[in-house]
Amino acid sequence: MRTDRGTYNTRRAESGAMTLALETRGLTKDYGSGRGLFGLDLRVHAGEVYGFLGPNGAGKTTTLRLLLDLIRPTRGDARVLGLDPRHDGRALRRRVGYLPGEPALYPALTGRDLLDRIARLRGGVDERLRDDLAERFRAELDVPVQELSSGNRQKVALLVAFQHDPEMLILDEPTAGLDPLMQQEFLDLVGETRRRGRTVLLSSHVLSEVEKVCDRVGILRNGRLLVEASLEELRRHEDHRLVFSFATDFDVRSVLDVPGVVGAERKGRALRVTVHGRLDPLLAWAARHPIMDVETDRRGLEEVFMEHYRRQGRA
Amino acid sequence: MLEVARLTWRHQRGALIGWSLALLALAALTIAFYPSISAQYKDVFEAMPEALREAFGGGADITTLEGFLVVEWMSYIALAYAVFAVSQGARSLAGEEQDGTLDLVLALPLGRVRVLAEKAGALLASLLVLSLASSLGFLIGGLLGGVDAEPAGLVRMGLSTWPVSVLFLSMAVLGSAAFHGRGTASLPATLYVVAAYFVDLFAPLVPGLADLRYGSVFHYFGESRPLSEGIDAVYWGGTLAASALLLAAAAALFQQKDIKG
Repeated sequence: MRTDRGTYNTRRAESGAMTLALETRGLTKDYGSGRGLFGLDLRVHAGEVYGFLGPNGAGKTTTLRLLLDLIRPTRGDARVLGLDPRHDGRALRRRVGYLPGEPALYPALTGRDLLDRIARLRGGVDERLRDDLAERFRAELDVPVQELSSGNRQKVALLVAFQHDPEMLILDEPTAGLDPLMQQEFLDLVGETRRRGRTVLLSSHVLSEVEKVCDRVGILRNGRLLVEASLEELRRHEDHRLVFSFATDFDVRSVLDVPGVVGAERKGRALRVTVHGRLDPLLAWAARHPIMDVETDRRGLEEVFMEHYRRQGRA
Repeated sequence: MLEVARLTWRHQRGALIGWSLALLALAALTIAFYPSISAQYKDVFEAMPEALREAFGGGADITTLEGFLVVEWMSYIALAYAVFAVSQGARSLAGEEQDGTLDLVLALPLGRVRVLAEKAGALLASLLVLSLASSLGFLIGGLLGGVDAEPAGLVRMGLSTWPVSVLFLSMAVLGSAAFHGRGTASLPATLYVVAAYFVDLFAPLVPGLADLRYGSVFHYFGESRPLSEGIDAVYWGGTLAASALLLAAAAALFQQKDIKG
């Protein structure tokens, strides 16, 4: 796990043998007034699904647009599939599929017409793959885009990104507008894409979807990468919550002296404790009391993320 | 092959058809009424002070077909072409950027110069279609009105709108390459059109504007005589050369541009 305060062991990231699909060094896009992206150092390996998390304005979309050479960096550099977006943009984009946030499509064209035109601009695509994807997402391809719902437009945009079977997918808020069934279908597709050795970089603020599909996540805030880790590591380094039910009264002040305990709340003979780091000192303290029940609170990524966000805000 | 150009054509097909029909009808009606109203105009025009005649017809003889078309058509038609050219030029890059569709194209393995060249090429072809619509209108109206005129001259008359509209388009494409929304992108070209039109219109009346009219494309357009003298090399050559420079500048700017998401 890597944070802005230090570096920890990360299984994938430390493996020198793995091929890098993406690397940025000091990548900066300064829009002034503190807006933009600042000093992003990022490494994503081939075959990895990497999730960018962060609130609106954190710099997720700016990062993705820099990687496609839609915008140019103020400082720093990037390599995508070994290519410099600034100088090898055409070659790079041939190998990448891109889904913009809030994708806009030519409204008068049908989805099929649009996909055909884009396929020709790409020098051809595997039509069988495209048809399979269209069927899978139940995309309405024979209706003008302007008559489609936002969810159906998103499906067409997903086909644009996937139809040429790219080596790398750059997806900005990919499930926006999709219904829950289609969101699941999309997550399954990302999983299959990874198993086929493709790399996926996606941004989202829908944390549950990132949790389901990403190998690693990077949390951005105010244009800076706050933390980068696998999901497991992120959780392991975060606080745990335990709820004890004791048979007798206890002194709640004494639990606050236990190493690692950062918060405790008593309700009758129940105790809710928040612990940072190892649990054994707390369990040793608890063992001195007659325990009737204990629950652990497995937190969703959303909570982990929000805690990081709050903590960095205080720092 | 030329898929971006075809996409641009498809995108503005409705506008092109509508404008072509309107300009065809306008040209046809203008020339068809020449035999019946030119005589009435003669007295009015001859009573005008010379400076006013100069302003509205560049000294053209209203009793001739060419003079009639200069006064009744050339004196304002370039403004109509300007509206189409500037709006389409501003829409080509900045408008698509504003709509978000430019992302779709620039995320493909295409160079930006190619994207701009194909879009500009498609719009230049559209302007040619509009000019030919005027030519066709003159031919149809001439036949209907029994006007005695050389068909090739009438075609040239319609085509003479092409260089001036190409210049306006190129200005708008330059604005489109520099700015992010279609309103801002069209502003420099619109300001030039308005300023150049009024400078050319009032230069015969206001001595202080006399030299400025050489910076107005309306001056060269209005001075050309496509019906009787053929292609005006200064007007065509100068205008198209200036347009090429503007498009080259647009390509350079577009290469450096950050595309807003």
